[in-house]
Amino acid sequence: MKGVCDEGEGGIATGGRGGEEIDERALASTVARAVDYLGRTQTTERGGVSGGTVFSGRLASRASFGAGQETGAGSGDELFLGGVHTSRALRGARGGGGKVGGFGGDGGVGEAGPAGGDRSDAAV
Amino acid sequence: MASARRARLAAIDLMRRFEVREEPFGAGAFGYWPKGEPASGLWQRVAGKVFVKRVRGPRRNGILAPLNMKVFPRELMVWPDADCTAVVNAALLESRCIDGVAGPAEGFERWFARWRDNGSTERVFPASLEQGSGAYLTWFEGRHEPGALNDLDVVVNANVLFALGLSGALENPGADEAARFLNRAVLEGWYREFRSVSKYYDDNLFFHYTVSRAYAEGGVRSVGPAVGALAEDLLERVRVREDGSAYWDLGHPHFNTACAVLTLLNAGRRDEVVARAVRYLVREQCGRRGCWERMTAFVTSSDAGVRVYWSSEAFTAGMVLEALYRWVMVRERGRREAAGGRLTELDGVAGGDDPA
Repeated sequence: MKGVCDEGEGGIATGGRGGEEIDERALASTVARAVDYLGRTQTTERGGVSGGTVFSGRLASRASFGAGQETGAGSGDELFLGGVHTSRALRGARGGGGKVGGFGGDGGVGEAGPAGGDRSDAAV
Repeated sequence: MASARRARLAAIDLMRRFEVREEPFGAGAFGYWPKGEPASGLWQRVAGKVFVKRVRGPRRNGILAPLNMKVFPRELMVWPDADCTAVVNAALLESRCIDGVAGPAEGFERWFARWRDNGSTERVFPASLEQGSGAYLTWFEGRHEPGALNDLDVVVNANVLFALGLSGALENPGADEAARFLNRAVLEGWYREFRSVSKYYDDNLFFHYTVSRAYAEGGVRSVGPAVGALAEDLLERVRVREDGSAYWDLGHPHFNTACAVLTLLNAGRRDEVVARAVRYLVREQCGRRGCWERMTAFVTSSDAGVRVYWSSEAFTAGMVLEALYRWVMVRERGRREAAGGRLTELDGVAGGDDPA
């Protein structure tokens, strides 16, 4: 698994490197990029799909929905599912940036890119 | 921030399109798929029969079909369900608070109460639970088909309790029974064989998260025993990297860790492991795209044994974002408390109380 090393389970102690403060700038940057990613992957369009069989429907749905709606069955449910959690996450970004101040406010998010994108050619 | 708000509102608008108003359903009932059109032409019917023969079932003879499938046999269509109805109405409740948009339909809670495991509906899952438990069934069957089995799912019941809690409707029939089901599933250890208590979700700590969310955000205090035990379970399963960051790994460590962080915060745990896990999530983000690893969101099986997985990268990103902001809110609350400052309304949703 990428970036994961198994050094063992349990035994969390206090102090040490794990006790260091998390870099505020890194955290703000992480959130900004994640919100930007979700904005780029979101689309609410279902159009442009054709195909007369279940199987071509699978291909068409993958090809037409674009990024962020990868569906194992090719039905578009992922968009539905992702929508719920996109909403919850963006609520969080608002809370962090707007009121608590941990994420740097409005300037830290940036504008979303165009919908669709780099998964539109993904194989089923 | 403006783009984030636009994205959230677009998501809410999309969810509304899955409302099922066709009789016997109505406002506030939602399904996993939109209204479907059964196969009509000769070749469509032939293709449908071949498909049914291949997957066999489950044959629910519902009214909803997958998006973008021109041909879908009526036998395999599904009904609206408790899970979608719960999570969409919860999202609408939250959006009403945040955005001031229209909330859920009045009385959406009645749909859950109508389809409960009351002994009159055939139900064989989970086998460990006696018939007539009173908890919430997954499928809102508009018409029961002989041989079409309904089921109980622990995640579905946690989501229903969350929605009921948010709407202040915990007196809804079945809420106590659903909480009892969840507590038993945890305290009697059924959830450790996760496939025995969930037909639709993967064993990826999302169950931990949903139960704790119902407790902390929905105010469902009756699941406190389960939440406390799940938090302890997480602390026993954590792993530590050389750099001191912490994570959980059930196959999708980014998603697993986000769920674990949220669960611990919801359970009122402020162990240092949470900060270590936040550091793990920050370090693991894809620097180029801003995402994390794809996870398996849903699983389903046909009667022929074909398993279908719905996976998502965006889902992981959503959960990680939620974990990060919740951690920041909890940390800020701690700092204000330490400084003797006044707490704000946001502190109330930052994290739950320890059920212990």
